[in-house]
Amino acid sequence: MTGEPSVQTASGTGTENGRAPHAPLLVVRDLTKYFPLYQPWLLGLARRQVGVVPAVENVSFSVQRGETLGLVGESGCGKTTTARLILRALRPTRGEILFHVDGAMVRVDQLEGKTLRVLRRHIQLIFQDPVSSLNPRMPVGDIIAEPLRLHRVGTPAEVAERVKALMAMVGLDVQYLRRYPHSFSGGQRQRIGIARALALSPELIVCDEPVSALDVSIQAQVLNLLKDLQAELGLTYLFISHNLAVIDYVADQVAVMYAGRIVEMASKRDLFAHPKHPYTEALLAAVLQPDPKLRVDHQAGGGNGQPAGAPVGGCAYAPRCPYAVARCRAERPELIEVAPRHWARCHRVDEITLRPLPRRPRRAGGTAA
Amino acid sequence: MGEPLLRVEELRTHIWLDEGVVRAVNGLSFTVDRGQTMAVVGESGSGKSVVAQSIMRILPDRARIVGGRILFSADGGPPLDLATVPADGKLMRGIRGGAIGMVFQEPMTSFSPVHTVGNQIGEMMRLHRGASRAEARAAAIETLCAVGFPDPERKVDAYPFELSGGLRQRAMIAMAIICRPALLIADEPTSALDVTIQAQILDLLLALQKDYGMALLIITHDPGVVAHVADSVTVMYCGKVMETGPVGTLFEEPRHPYLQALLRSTPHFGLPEGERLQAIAGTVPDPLSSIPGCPFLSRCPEGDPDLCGHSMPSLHALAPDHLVACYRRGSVPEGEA
Repeated sequence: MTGEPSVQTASGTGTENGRAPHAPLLVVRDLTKYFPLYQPWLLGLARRQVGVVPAVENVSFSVQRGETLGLVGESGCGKTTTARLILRALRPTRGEILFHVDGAMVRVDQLEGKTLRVLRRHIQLIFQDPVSSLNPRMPVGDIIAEPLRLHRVGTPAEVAERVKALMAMVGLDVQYLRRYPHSFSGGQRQRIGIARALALSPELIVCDEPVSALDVSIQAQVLNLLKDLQAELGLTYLFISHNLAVIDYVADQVAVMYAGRIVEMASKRDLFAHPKHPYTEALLAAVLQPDPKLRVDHQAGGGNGQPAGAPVGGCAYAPRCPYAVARCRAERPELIEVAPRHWARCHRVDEITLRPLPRRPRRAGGTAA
Repeated sequence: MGEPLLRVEELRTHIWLDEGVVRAVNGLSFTVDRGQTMAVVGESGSGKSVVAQSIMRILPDRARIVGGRILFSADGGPPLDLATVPADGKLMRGIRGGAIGMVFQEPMTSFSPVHTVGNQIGEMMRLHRGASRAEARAAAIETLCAVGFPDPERKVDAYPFELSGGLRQRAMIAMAIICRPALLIADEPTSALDVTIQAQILDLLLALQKDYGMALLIITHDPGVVAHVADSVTVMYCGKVMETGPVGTLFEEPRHPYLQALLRSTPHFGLPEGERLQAIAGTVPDPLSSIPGCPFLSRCPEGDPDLCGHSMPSLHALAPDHLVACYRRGSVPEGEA
């Protein structure tokens, strides 16, 4: 398993076209994480490693300052592992994570101890589940203040001021400072989580399915809040979601992951209008749009429901791919730039034409009009 | 023919908690016709799952049906009021899993982990049809085949933990349909599944419905699921019907301010660049509070406390099959209709 040729342009510095102000905030190159696979040994008294699970393999991308990169894929595709590697909750097996702090590029993958702690002021996380990610025995004010205390930022009076400002910023009533998480609704709890993530004024926020646990009517509130905060504070998001409609709303660039690898990456518009990877096509076909006129038959397209099999050497998607040929099962495709700033990992990218997201003809706006 | 398969009339189910009484279902009426798909859509706390539990009579101990009727007629004959049948009696046990099948959200918790799926699917045949062990196994294999199981002869002996989420959900559907129920209730059948699998499971439900001539009652929070599967839709909010009608009408021309707001706030494609989702302000009212008027009043852009705050609006017919409960759309106070 030699490393694939790196994808220069995907993680390029962006200086070729002379747009230095758009220097990327985060660059990830060939990021790889293998988890050890154990089996019981000696009648179960011990265990031994029998192999590795390639949870994330050769993932490369960059996120421009102030933009949102959407990371999509099904459960188990490695999107959360990627996020945890960038946050350094996990140590990468190999690969580089470069993060722009105060004019310098920091090798996040090599940080240890104290310097890693400093990094955490710049990269924060918003969790999916607003219930389990908040300490039920801590009042909301303390939850939001905790990052400030841990990083010894400000005097107690300044912390109190900052907490109030943060609560106002995310639309929480400052009166509720002393209340506990259980007395808040799901949407409000997610606002608490957002306030906590903002406490240290980070540059990058990793949002891991931040609205998936929320009711439909509340999702829009939280998504709008995240967009407003981004505009106001110049935040950069790495936004993980399985919901393509949510990605369409928040993301600028989209990376599609399958079986630990990025299979397609492009601007949101290109990806949805001109998908270049069969898995992206299957994802788009599987979207249930809130529009009865866009009903489609999914048995035809989206694969056969088999879980992603262990790739033996060919394309990991080949077992599910309706376009797969012998070459796909024998030879692993690489991520190549198939159109300007549009990358896909497919042997047959020039031979097949894929269906875009079904849209209503005419009548712009559809049900939302 | 005349009698619809399921007619829920003025159903009231309350839940007694330490803090007070939750009127989870508070005067709910809707009809499911034979072979049709009705979707009940609502947010968490709207009472939609309690509707399913009331029909199946599998309510938790603290909950009780306190009013209304659940008229069920499997064969078009005189209907049986499920609300009055003893929940653990022989009759109800025969209907539950026999004439009415149910699919739950989380297939892992709905299967026993220590029995094979084939055993559990076949058990339905043994209980409801008095089938022998061999007949039950044969029926289980046949049904696993019908729900698209690869290699059913071997997978019939698999344990639930050995199956992927999508296959587990297929196995649960097999368990629900093996006795060929007239009505299949699916409570958030795909919410725990991946996007691609979700679409396949919904299409499987639709295909089975056609093959078996079943009616389908789908309970969901997702307008996308509704748009994909339903013939008719009932929109619930705080235990009440806000609007009900054919799916095309409700999505094309939603009339209730809640449904209009819900569809505007649902993340969807095709928003022009720079346009925002219109979030519904506020939150669902406290379920323990008793609201005399329209429950959506506190979040409604057209609401008027003088008009809407005193009593619940009745369901007003905009068309024979399209009803809406809103004073701004012609409703009168409930009870005066």
